[in-house]
Amino acid sequence: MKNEIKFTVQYDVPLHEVWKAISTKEAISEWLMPCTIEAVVGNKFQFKTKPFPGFNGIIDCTVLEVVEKQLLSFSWSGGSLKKTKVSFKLKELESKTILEFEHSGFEGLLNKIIVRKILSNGWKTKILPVLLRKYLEKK
Amino acid sequence: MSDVFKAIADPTRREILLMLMEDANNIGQIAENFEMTRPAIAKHIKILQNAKLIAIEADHTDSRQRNCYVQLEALSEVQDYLALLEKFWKAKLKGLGTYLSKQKKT
Repeated sequence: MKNEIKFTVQYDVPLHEVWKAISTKEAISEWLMPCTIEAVVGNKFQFKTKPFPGFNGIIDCTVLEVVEKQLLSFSWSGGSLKKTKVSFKLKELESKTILEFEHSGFEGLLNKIIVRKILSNGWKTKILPVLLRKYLEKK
Repeated sequence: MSDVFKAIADPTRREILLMLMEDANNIGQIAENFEMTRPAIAKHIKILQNAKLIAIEADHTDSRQRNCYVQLEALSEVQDYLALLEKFWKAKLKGLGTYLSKQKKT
């Protein structure tokens, strides 16, 4: 069972151009989703996209790591995901750029799905939803 | 409180579930990872088993060993979700490539 999304992509442009594209809000807003990021550790920002049932279209993020032209990571909480982590690592290779992408930290998602499974498996008593809500609010 | 709710309300049991997600393990191996005694782990395992969150089967090579597995139904939903999310990121990072080549021309 894998517990993260991880893959690499190669871009035929110099590293500084890729760095600019992944670390400035104008660029990220264009290729990913509209956002307000400032590439400074601790910066809190949001991505805003189309909402759909069960998801309000907002992803809350905090910049976790910034190493100029090498690494950018931020937390990602939205929809079913709580406090997951997205990271972009860059490496230069003969004037091309390798991007190592990783999205990890899905433990909370499993908890949530297990809770949902249990509820759908016939545990819909009057008491359980009340207890469950209390439990989830405490988290 | 129902057995199932009690089963997932405990952080150690949630950790055991996450550990078993990676691989099936016998009670001894689980106890080692949690620095807990075998009887303490066995108690947690029993609660998870009663809640039908995990299943237990005899080891193929050593029938004295009992291996614990996470019931796969809940897990396949996680996998489906992650597969969709992976598709999303691959499409977006392909889009980044298009964005970069467009920037190059201008």
